[in-house]
Amino acid sequence: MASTEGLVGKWGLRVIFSIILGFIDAAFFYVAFGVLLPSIIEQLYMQLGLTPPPTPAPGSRILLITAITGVFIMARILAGTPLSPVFRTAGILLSLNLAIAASGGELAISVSGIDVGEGVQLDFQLDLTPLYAGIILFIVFPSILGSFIDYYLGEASR
Amino acid sequence: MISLNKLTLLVGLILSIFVAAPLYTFLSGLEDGFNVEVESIDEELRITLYYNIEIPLTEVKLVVKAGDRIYEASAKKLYEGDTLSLQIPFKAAESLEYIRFEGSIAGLYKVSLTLRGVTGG
Repeated sequence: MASTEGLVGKWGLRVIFSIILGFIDAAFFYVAFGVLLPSIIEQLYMQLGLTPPPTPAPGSRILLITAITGVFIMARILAGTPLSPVFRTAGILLSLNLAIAASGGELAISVSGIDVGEGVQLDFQLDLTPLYAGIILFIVFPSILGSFIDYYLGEASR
Repeated sequence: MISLNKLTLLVGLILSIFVAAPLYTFLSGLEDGFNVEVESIDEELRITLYYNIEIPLTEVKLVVKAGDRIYEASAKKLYEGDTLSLQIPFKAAESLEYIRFEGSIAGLYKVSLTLRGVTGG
C-alpha cells in the first residue's frame, strides 16, 4: 500500500512539474512568435506610415494560446515517449500560426491608392515570403528537429 | 542550464533578425529613398529614377506604360546614389498610364512601386 501511495505521489509530482514546465515552454514560444515576430512586422508597417493589420479577435487568440499551452504541457507529461516530440511539433506549428495570424494573416504588404499629391496615386507591394521562410528555416525547422533528436538521444542513452 | 531546444530557438531568432535587417533598413529610408525626375530632351521625355537607400537593390526594372506600348530600362544592381533612366517619345507620353519600379531588396524581398495618374503630356 505504501508503495502504491509512493507511486501516485511520484506521478502526481511529475504531472505538476510537467504543467509548470509546459507553461514555461508555452510562454517562451508565445513571446517569440506571438509578441516579438508580430512586433517586427508592425515596425515595418510603421516605417511605411501605414496602419498595422488588425490583430485576430481576442476569442480566437485566447483559443490558440490555450491550445499552444495545452500541447506543450502534454509534450512535457509524455516526455520520454514518441508522442512527446509530436506534441512539441504541434505546439511549434501552432505558434507559427499565431505569428502569421497576429501579422494580419498575409505574407505580403500590399497597399494601393496612396495619394501622393497632384492627382498621383502610388501602389506599393512588398513580398514578405523570405522573412517567413527565414523563420521556418532558422526557428521552426531546427526546433522540430531538436525535439526528435532530444527524444532519440534519450532513447539511445537508456 | 539552458536546453538545446531553447538555445536553438535563441540562435534562430537572432538569424531571423539578420534576415529582417535589410527589409528594415530599406523601409527606414523609403520616405526620401526614391525621386523621379521628368525632363524633355529633343523630341523625347526622359524619366530618371534616383535611388537613395543604403541597401542595394538587385534585378531592378523601370517600366513605363504609355498607350499600348511598354518602355523598360533595367539594371543588375542599384546602389545608393545610382540612377536609372529611360526615354519615351513625346507622343507616347501623352497617353502615360503608369511608371513602375521593381526590384529585390538585397536580392531577397521583391518590391514594386507604381505611380498612376502622372501627366506626361
